[in-house]
Amino acid sequence: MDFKNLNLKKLIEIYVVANTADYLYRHYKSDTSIIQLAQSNDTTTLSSYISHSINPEISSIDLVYIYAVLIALSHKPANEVIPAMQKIDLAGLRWGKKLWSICKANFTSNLIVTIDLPQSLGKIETPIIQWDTSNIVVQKVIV
Amino acid sequence: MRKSIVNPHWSHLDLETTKGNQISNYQDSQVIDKNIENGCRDIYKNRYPAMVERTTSPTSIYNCHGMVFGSRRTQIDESTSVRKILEDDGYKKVSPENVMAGDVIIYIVNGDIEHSGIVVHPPIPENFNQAIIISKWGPFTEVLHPVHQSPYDSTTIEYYRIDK
Repeated sequence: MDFKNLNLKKLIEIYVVANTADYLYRHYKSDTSIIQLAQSNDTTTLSSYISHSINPEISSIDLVYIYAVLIALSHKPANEVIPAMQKIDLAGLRWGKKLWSICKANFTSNLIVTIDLPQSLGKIETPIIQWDTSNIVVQKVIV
Repeated sequence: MRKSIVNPHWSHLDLETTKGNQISNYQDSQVIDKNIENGCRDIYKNRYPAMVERTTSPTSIYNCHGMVFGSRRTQIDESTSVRKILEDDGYKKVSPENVMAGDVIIYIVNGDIEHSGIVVHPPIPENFNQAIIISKWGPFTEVLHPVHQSPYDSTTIEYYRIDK
């Protein structure tokens, strides 16, 4: 994988003072070089990098690269990333499982359902169900 | 101490609150690379000129929450664990004007307690009304710093004191 555009210096700075996985996620998620990493690599390439890189003897730099790739995956579509990541054991990676759970919780749905209905149906009640982690809303329509 | 079965560099302590609730924690025996340590030291000293390193060698054995709540023996990295300790151990919130040396400070962002430390000097005019904190910065070193001069978001801070 090509990391030449990754802002490694900034990512290391963040890693060195991170006390929690949430801190690392917040700062890496908004990093433009991680967004570029996501744009220039497909989901398979990114997830394969993680699965081949996890081992107990990885250095601090290796850890920064893995975290960058893991959070780059959060910029990819959930329907691609979730099946790919289910095959990877993150238990041996410090903050691996925690970061992945934060990524999953922050995926937004790309699902659009179109239903043909008469133009004037009536009043739409407040949402019956709404998930914080997606933009899916279930509503009841009173005719 | 229990050795981790997934990574030989990790181990866990049996850590409980005073009410007997388990606190998840781990020690990591790996340290950050020397070139990273030196590079980051230069960057942060340049960015926060008032910072003073209290310890000279980085360690991943403990982090900020482990320094404040785990006697520098382990890392505590879940906000829920920190909240459980504050509750179970009888910490009471202290208003900024009543802060004293020895009080605990926590930095909160969207519910995540991203940092904690111990007050060394309360916020007095001589310190430009900024408390001086000692805290551990991730796997880096322990640092003395003014409350608003660190890599952590100090927009929402809270002070606590054990008062039983």
